[in-house]
Amino acid sequence: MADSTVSVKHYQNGCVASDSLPLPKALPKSDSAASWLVMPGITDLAVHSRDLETEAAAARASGITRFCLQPDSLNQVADRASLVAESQSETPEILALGATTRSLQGTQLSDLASLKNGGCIAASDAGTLWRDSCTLKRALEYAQSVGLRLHLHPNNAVLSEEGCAHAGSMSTRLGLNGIPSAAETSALCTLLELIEDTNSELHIARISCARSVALIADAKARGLPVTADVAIHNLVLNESAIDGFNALCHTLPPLRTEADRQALLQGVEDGILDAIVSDHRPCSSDDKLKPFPATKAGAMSLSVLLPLTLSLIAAKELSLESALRALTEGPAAVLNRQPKGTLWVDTTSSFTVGEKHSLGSGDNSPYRGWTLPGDVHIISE
Amino acid sequence: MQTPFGTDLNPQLNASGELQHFLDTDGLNRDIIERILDTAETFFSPVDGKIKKVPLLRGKTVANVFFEASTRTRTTFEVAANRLSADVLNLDIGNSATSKGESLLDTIRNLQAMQVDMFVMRHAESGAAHFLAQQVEPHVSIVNAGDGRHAHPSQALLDAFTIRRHKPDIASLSIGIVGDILHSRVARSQVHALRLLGCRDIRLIGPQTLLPKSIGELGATRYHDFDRALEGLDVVIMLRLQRERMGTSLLPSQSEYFREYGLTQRRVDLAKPDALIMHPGPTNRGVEIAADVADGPQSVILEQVNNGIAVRMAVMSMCLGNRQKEAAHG
Repeated sequence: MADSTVSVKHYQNGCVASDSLPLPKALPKSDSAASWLVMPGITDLAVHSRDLETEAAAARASGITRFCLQPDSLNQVADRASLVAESQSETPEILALGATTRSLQGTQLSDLASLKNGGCIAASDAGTLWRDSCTLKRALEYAQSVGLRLHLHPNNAVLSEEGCAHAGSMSTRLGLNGIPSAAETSALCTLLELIEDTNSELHIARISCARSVALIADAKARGLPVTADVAIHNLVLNESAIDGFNALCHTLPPLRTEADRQALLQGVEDGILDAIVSDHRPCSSDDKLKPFPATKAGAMSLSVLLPLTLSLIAAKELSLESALRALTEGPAAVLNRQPKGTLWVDTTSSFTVGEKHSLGSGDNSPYRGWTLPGDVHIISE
Repeated sequence: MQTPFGTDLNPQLNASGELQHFLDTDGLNRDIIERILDTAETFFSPVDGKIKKVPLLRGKTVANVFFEASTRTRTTFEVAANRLSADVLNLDIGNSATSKGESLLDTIRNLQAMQVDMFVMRHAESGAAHFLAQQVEPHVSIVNAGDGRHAHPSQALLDAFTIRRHKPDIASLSIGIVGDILHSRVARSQVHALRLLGCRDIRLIGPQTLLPKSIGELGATRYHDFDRALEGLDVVIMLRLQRERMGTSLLPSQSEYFREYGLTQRRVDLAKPDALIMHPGPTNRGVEIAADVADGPQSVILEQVNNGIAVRMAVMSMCLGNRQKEAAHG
């Protein structure tokens, strides 16, 4: 991130995140806002959708000018063709991710060349499990040869089997099958060895523990072509959020310890983690109306990605510069793009989540009712 | 951090802090536990020590809904409801509705429409009872008869009741719980209950594969060496070890397990001379406990079963009694 253009310039009552961003001629409500921010539009690398129009509207209303659509969206699997027709929407720009394997089963490769030719910007495993390292290695090799970057979740299928929560204090107390951090780190080590061996590049999706941040820092220091991201809920919540069997906080990877959360924040601060993503996964109410282990993992967080990040900045858990980089040019660079559009944000105005606008095409926001900062307007697309 | 939407940490207590569901010993307090144990004492006849029939739940309907097989727990809950004069429905759900694809919630809603006042439920998923308590109509009580590996609170309290009858000062006791702690809902509920009753020396004993690292945070000490852990114990609670765990990566073999963690007379002699030997049943003789120990003079295993009836009567009558109090005031 040495060539970052995020360099915040402060004005009276406000700041601009980049020299290259033009100050808008007329600032909306500039007189009333005690503090404002002009920043590039947000690129969100991980949106799962049940209804594209709903998710697009939620994105637009919350400053996300571009998002990647995960290949398990819209009740389909993008293993032969892209789920998004070209120019489906200008803002947000919706970029399709193809499925790495057929039906996302983790065994047989998808038609990756066809997916690329059909407009997929990259391929993702959408958080599904890989059954063996050999398929993983071949996926990296094949994707490399067709020029498609992979976005893979490090998760050891055997170590995480039947787990639904971080293996630690809370899962032990609640009697839930745990997913140890080693399920993530051992898979991550395998991935890092494989990309070194195959000379391929990789985006590591959804890191959740401290040790993974250290492994990625080391890989980057060695010059491996890797980028990585973290879901906003792993930065905001920890394992205690599932107390009382709160299925709205059942996520994959799971919410881990407070020490892990702190290390992830530091990873964003240091630029080791390139992007903060929403990992927006809308579920129906039936998906969550079950005993905790039987519920579907996922939380809706598209519309609160920026407000939650602003609250982390306000709590001094992240610096403005690092947070903005991880929402804008970091994720854009993972896609070999520049950030899209410009936002004006009134950072002092607050709202109650769920009252302002749609949260997405599901019923599973753990943030409903929270008071969060950020009134956002897209001022150029 | 603001509290996530949908968090209800302790639905088992009503606004006045009284029991309305019985989900777990975690989240109760010493006062409620002692009242349950004291109430259970009142059901024993002072004349012959037998459990009396009382009219406390006349006109109430209790449904025993077991999604997992059980003999002892289900039968004692049924006997308890009968002794309280409730109407009892026994539903073997494991073989019917859910196997046809009906969700847990739909099954319970249908039964609720049949005017059931209380569900006694066992389910394979941790958190099932907690989940249902948040979904049923406000006048309906849920009693957890075991959910996954999370909690089995009535077993924990009947054990506490049994201990208290023999050794009234629980706070001064050293109590060991031995075996498959990892998968044991009984052990979790026992640790919470014994801690709330003031017990300071709770020893959890087993190989590391069955003894999760963070279990110590519940307020117990972990031991891998059974012989060493037995020293000074007042109570030894053996857990049932499911045979399907043998020969997996959890445990090498039945014979090795018995050598390391089986309770033999030689080991009983390492504990205090008057130590109580307990087991929630059903026992696997020769797997976790030797037959002569299970039947020996220090064993109170059969007493536990009988005490289970009185403790379950106490729990059921208190939950529905508090409901009636609420309705009367409300």
